[in-house]
This record gives sequence, structure tokens and C-alpha cells, in this order.
Amino acid sequence: MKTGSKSKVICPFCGAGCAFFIVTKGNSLNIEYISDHPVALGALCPKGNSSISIVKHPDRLKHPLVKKGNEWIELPWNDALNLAAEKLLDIKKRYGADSVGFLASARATNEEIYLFQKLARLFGSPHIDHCARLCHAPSLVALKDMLGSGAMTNPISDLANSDCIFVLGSNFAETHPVVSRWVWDAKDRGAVVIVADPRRTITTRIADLHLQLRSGSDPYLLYAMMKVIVDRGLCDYQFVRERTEGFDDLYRWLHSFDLKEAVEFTGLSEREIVAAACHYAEAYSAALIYCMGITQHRNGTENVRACANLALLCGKVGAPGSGIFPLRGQNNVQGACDMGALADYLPGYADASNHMELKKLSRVWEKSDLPLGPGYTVTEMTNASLNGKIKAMVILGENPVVSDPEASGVKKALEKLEFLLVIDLFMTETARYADILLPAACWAEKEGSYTNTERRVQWSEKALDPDGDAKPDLWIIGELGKRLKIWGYTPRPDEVLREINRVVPQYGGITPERLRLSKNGLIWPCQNESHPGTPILHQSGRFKFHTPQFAIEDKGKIGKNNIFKLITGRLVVHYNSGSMSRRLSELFPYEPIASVSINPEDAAALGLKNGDEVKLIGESGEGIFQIRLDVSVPPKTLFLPFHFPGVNDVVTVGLDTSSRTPGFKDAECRLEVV
Amino acid sequence: MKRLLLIRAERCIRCRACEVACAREHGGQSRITVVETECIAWPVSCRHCKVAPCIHVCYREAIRYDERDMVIIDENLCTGCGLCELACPFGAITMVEKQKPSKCDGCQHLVLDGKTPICALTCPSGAIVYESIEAYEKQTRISFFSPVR
Amino acid sequence: MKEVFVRLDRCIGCRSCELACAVEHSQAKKLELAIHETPKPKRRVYVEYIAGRKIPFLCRHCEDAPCVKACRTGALSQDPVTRVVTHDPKKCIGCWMCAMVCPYGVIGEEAERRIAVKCDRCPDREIPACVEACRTNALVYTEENEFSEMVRKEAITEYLKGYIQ
Repeated sequence: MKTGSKSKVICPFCGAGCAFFIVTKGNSLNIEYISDHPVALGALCPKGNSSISIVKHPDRLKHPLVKKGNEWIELPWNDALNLAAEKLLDIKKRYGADSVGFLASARATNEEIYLFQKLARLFGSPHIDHCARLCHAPSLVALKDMLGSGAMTNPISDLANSDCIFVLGSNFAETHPVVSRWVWDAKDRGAVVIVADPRRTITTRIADLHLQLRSGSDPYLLYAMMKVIVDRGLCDYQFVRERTEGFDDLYRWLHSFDLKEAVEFTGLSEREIVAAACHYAEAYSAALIYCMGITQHRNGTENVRACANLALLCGKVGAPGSGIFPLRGQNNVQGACDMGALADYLPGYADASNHMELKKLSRVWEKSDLPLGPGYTVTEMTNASLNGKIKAMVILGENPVVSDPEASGVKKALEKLEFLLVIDLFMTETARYADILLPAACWAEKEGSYTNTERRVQWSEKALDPDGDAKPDLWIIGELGKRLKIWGYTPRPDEVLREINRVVPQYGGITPERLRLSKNGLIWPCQNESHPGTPILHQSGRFKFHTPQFAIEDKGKIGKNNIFKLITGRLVVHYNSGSMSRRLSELFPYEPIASVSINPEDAAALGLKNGDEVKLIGESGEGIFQIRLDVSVPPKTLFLPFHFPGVNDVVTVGLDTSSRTPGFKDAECRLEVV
Repeated sequence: MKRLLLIRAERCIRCRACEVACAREHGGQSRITVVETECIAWPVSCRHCKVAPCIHVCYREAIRYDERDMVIIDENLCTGCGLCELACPFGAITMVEKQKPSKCDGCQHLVLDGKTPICALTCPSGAIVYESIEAYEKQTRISFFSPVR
Repeated sequence: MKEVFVRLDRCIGCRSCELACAVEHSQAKKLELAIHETPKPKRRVYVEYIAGRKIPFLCRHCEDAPCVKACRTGALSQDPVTRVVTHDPKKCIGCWMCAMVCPYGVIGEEAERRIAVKCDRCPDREIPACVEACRTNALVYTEENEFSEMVRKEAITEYLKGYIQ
């Protein structure tokens, strides 16, 4: 790219998918805002504003590295790739292709992720997954089943058209700051904002009604609301009759649902629940926003089903201002799911355990005997390594040592592997365990498409070449594939996107030419080249109610023996595993360490002051943290931001059976004064 | 009507995008600070007062209005006395080093976007706006009597 | 203390109040001369059309007025007896904190000096100019208990109409 030029890029951080120009002038980079961009009108949160400092960060990996003893030795690309391929082929020969696990990045381009899952499956392994497993896999399963599609149904800006915004388990003012504008615009028009969260957060400040419910009691709240709505005749009967199936079973279930018991379990008053139910049901258009507070439970999928049940009951789907808004976390996690980098789905959400679907894919990829899914998920892969079933892993831009629960187990699992190949920008906590570490180009140094949480596919341009020898993931995957004898040459992004057009039906008409020419990308489904895209989903079609099956495990331990409920969550200045945000001097000084927030009364009872250190002990790990007194945390509850290594050491939780997502928000721990 | 940098404090989510963007545009020193209390946050920066106390107090006449009516300090004339820092009712001026008062200059250097200051351009929630008093007050009135409720 | 009450059902959006307010705060105090004046006289009453309804916004002269609290120079102050919030242009520095904290959005901008203008309850008049100008009696200048009584009487009269027939 010429210097003094402008390139349009998509922000590398969250799933909002804000776009801006990177302006290069000599060696310096600057940002120019795109004030008519539909997601945020050009606005950028502090992370987006600091993103250009990642590009020339001194910690950036510049050369391929191989571990020899305790040292890293630089290697030329050809040697590194040859060595990696050799190791992988050797492991394949000795233990079989299904002894290799592949972790895709949720922040690489669609083309790169598609090629990566293709590499894994053509290599012969069904074990391909990525971090959506840790967050919105329940949404994929539940919404796909009930609505036909597992994604957010309306654009973010459409929130301004809602007359009632019901937020559950989401702190969007912290996690997706740009969503706040639209919620405020709706509020200025008179919308009622209801937020259900066990804590008081920056998001609950926007709420007209804050339902400070007991952590994890969301399904009781939702079904209590549904019972109130049915009893008062506030359902959208026309919608239920014409557009849904399965109402009778749900109705019968609600009939025998004990409202008083549910109300008591949530810790709310019946009046609040009735108010919320009436606002949501009677509004002309209503949006339901949810995030990790709903999905990261052992009942995660059931929780999402409850949300969908409520929306269908009230007919609040498939119209402007009416929809279901699961807010996705990474700038391309939606794309990673669409591209099938999942243990249970092929590209386009075909079932990975379905022979017909595999056959269809074999025809396009011109290889028979594709591995039958489902493969191991993110957490199952590390368990499988401990059990000796997985001998090698290829990790593309993921940081499971920080992000996965039971992090100490993850470290042991990675150490046990015979071979670990990591591709990343930085020497992350996970990269330290690699045998071969390959330097990747960052988002500004390559071109490709990203899909944001609105299903908007946007093209991100290349602003500059990488320093040193870092290469785009697409090149790395392509070259690795050549040496693994999977394909003969490394494709360019345009070519891969054209294959995606053929394989992923929702991307049928999202061609490189259309994307480059489009001002604001294209929203899938976009089946063919004349299709304009589909901002609002489910404007027609029939949907299925779900008859609830959930049980909340309340071991009853909280409150005794200093056992606290542990909620992990996000801070606005940090991003996920913190590998980028903890390195940026614009961001980390605001929150340099993981402080555990505790209610002042609990602290006083333990004789603790601000800044004191405590030890948090989980079932299979512990850690020492400084405390911060915080009135917004309910009693007997702790809050820890998960952007720091060591936090997930304390978290040991079970998996949701349908989606195999860890129930992070179910965590409990014992607190010891140090 | 001339446009002004105005705040809708109830929208401030204390994300500090304004601080980060301002620092980037001004060599690492932010001229805007988000002040947070228990129930509200307010991004504090120069109010570009129409009858500015800092202008009144500067005996060197180093502070003047530009064509957008923004209050600008001419560093070449500044002696670093610090009187403007004392005079400002909002604490919006900081003497970073001698003769280098740090104060919002309305992003004088920007030529695009109609010279909209960077904090207003970047604020994710729309808490910082660059519009006339008339437009701002009109929006307040219209939001006050919102129809849905 | 007397307040200016607004009966929303009676406002027809004619803006006579706006005109009268501006004329009252001009130098000539006559419409035909005021429109040629510089600086241009500014209204302190705002009639808005919101979702088909016409709503006049006037300064409420709030107890615990946010504008008085926000004003750093003391230009805005509240009379301890009449509870009227007055604005002293001599002290105003045009920082606009009052405009940003006013929940009703009734702070305006003076044409020339670009400092704040706000309703002063027409200290030189018996009845504020806007109230006198209002053709439909949508604006009522009276004490709170008298206003409530008037509204009650009107409501009962309407209610009883059904019976009297």
C-alpha cells in the first residue's frame, strides 16, 4: 500500500464490526472515522481507538520460532513449515488423523477460517472448534432449532426502533459500547428498558426497571413472565397461530408451572415480574438482548430456548424493532461459526455427523472419506489430551490457557501433547507451550472478509505490510496444507471467498466483487448475486416452541464457610484474554490487574479493606487477587474480570449437555483472607 | 447557529474512548477526563465559554477565539504563569510543563468531518455531541415527551 | 406562589406565547419594531410538535433547580421568596452547563452575546406575557391548589354531563 493512503478496515476487537480508515503517513498510522457507518455512526470504543497501536507493538512476533529445551530458536519459514508438517504427518501415521486437534481463531478472516477447517477435515480430523464454544454455542443450537438460524435477528441500529428493550445477562455498555447509543435513542423515543442482572452495572443505569435477580435464575424469570403473559391473555395469538408450532405443549407446561415458587427463587417481587412481562408483551415492538449471563450456564441452551420462547409467545420476531439479539464477542466469531470451524457443524451449519452432508462437501472438496463428526470441542480437546487421545494440536490465534475454565488442567494438557503448533501475533500465555510458534500478520496487514454479530459481512483492506517476517494466516494455512500433501497451492482471499460462495448457502451471493463495491457490506442470508442481503430475519416462516426441561442445581453451599458465587465478566478497556489489551498502554493503565469486586458488607464481615489480598479457591485451582469494595455486587457474590491469566484457574464448572459450553457463570469459590 | 461541544451525561458509559482518542490526536496527553460518581459520569473538558474566564485573566492575550468560537491558547505567547488554570471554573486546563497548557482546542487540526472534535466523533453512546444549543435543547424537549410511554 | 401551568389538551400550537415572549423581551416591546431589532429578541417558551401533540415548554422554576446548582458563576439564582429562577447576563460566562442539565431543555442562546437566555417570569408584568397571549387558556398563571381545584371542577363537570342529559 502506498504511504499517505487510506484503507478501510474492520475493528479487530468485538463483534460489533465497526469500520474505520487507517491512514498511513510514512511510518505513522492514524484513524479516520466513518461517520455514516451503520453499526455505530463512526464511533469507536477505547479498544477500537487504540487498535492501531497493535500493529507496530514491540512484542509482535517477527520470525518463526522453534522450541529447543527452554529456548526459542528462529527458523526460516520454509524450515519451520516443513518441520511442522513433518511432525503432524508423523503423528497422523502413528496415532491416526483424529489424534490431532485444531483450534481456529474467531478473529481471522472468513477466508482464513474456512481454509483452516478445510485443512483440518481434509487432514482427516473431525476435531475442529473455536472459542464460540465458550460463549454462544448455546445460541447456535437453541436458535437454530427453534427459529431456523442461530444468529442475531436484527441489525444493532434497529434497537432504536424498539418500544421495549429487555436485556438479560448482558452488560452491553461495557462489552459492546456502541450498542448503548441505539438503546438510548430508543429510550429517547419513549422505549422502556428492562435489564435483568444480578449486579448493578453501567448497563443497569440505562434501565427503567432493573431486575436484580439471583444469579442463574433466568429461566425462572422468563417462564414466570410467560405464565403471567398467558394468564393475562397478552400473547400475540395471531402470531402463535400462524407462525409457530408446539404452543399447546408449552401452554400445558406453563399451566403446571408454580409461579410463586419461581418468583421466590429469583429473589424478585411478583410486581416487578408482572411489570416486565406486561411491558414486553404489550409493546408494539420489543427487542430481547442477551449475552453471557444467559449462555454460560450448565443450562445455557435451555436458557436461550426460554428467551426464544418468550419472543415467539409475544410475536416479537421478524419485524423492525422486534428481534432476538445475542451479542457476539469477537470481530469474526459469527464468521467462524458460519465457516463451520465447529466440532458439530460443517460450513453453513450442516450437521457434521450427517453422512449426506459430508458427501456433498466431499464432492466440492474432491475428497471422499471426510471425517465423521461431531469432533471434540475446545474443552474436550484439552481433556482428550490429558487422556492421551489427542497427541497434537494446531492453535490458530486462540489463548485457551487464559480463556478456558480449569486453566491449570489446560496447561497440563498442552504440556502433555507430543506436538503443539501455535500461530499468533504475540507470545501469549498459550504460545509459551508451543513447539513451533509461527508469527501471524495482524488484521491491518492482510485483506479478507469479517462477519459481525449482525451477520454483516464486510471487507477489510490491507493497510500496510507486516514488519519482520509475519505472514497472513491464509498464507500460513495454505503453505502448511501444501506440505501436508492436502492441496497443491496456496489460494488468495478472493479465490477462497468464491469457494465459500459455493459451499455456504448463506454466503451464496457475497462475492469479493460485491463486497468490495458495497458501502457497508452484505448481510447474510444472501443466496445469489442479485440478492440484496437480509438485515431482518424471520419476517416469514414458522418457528417452534420448546417445552422446557431444566433443573437448577443449587448445592446450597453459598453463604456458608466463605463460599461465594463467582461471576466472571468483562471490562470496557480490556478484551477477552487480554493478549492485545494488556499490552496497549492506552488501555491497561485503567485496569492493570484483575481485582476481585466484593460487597462492602461481606468485606467488613471478614475484616477486609480496599486493596487487601485474598485467595480464591476453586475446585481444581486457586489464585491470589486484590479486592475492590463495590456496592454494585450483591451479597455473597464476587466479580472477577476474565481478561487476566489466573482468573480461570479458579473456575471449575460443568458443561451444558446440548452445546458443551462450560457454565462459567455457575462458578463458586471459597475465599480465604491472606 | 454555531456548533458547540455539548454533553449528554446520562449517556456517558465511562468507556473513556474520548480520552484515548483525544490522547492519540494530541501527542499522548488527553485534554478530556471522564469524572465518575456513583450514579453518573461526565466527560469534562474545556467548555469554550462565550465569556471565558481564562481569556479574561491572560495578561498576554495568548488565549483567543478561533473561527468556530472555540477557545484556543497560543503557546508561542504563553508565559506559563498558570493563571488560566486557576481561573477555569471547570479545571479544564492543566499546566503539563512550563508554557505548555493542556486544554481542549476543539481539534483545530482536523480538516475533515466539518472539524468535528474527535471526542464527539468517537463517543460510542452519543454522550458527546457537536451541535448548536438550539438543536441540543430541542432534542431534550422532544425526548422529554416521548410518545410511547 | 403562582406558577405557569400548562393544559396540554388545550394547546393548538399557534405559538402566540413564543411571539409574545420574544416581544416582551425586546427593546421596543412592540411586534412591528421588535422584528427589526438587533440583537434579535429571543423567545424563552418553546412549542414542540411531538407525535401529533402540541406541547409548550416553559421554565418550571424548579425547586432544587439543576441549572442553579450547575452554574459556576452564580449567574443563575433562585429568589428565596418567589422561587423564581433568574439569570443575570452580567455574570454569565456562556459555559452552557445550565443547558446541559436542564431536564426540560428550556435554556436558549442570546443572539449577539451568545450567553444563556431563560424565562424570567416577566418581572415587569402582572401576568407573564405568554399566559396573556394564550388564546385557548392552555397556559394558566395561578397557585398550585387553585389549579388543581380548577382541573377537578372541570373533570367533574364533564363527568356529570353524562348524568344531566
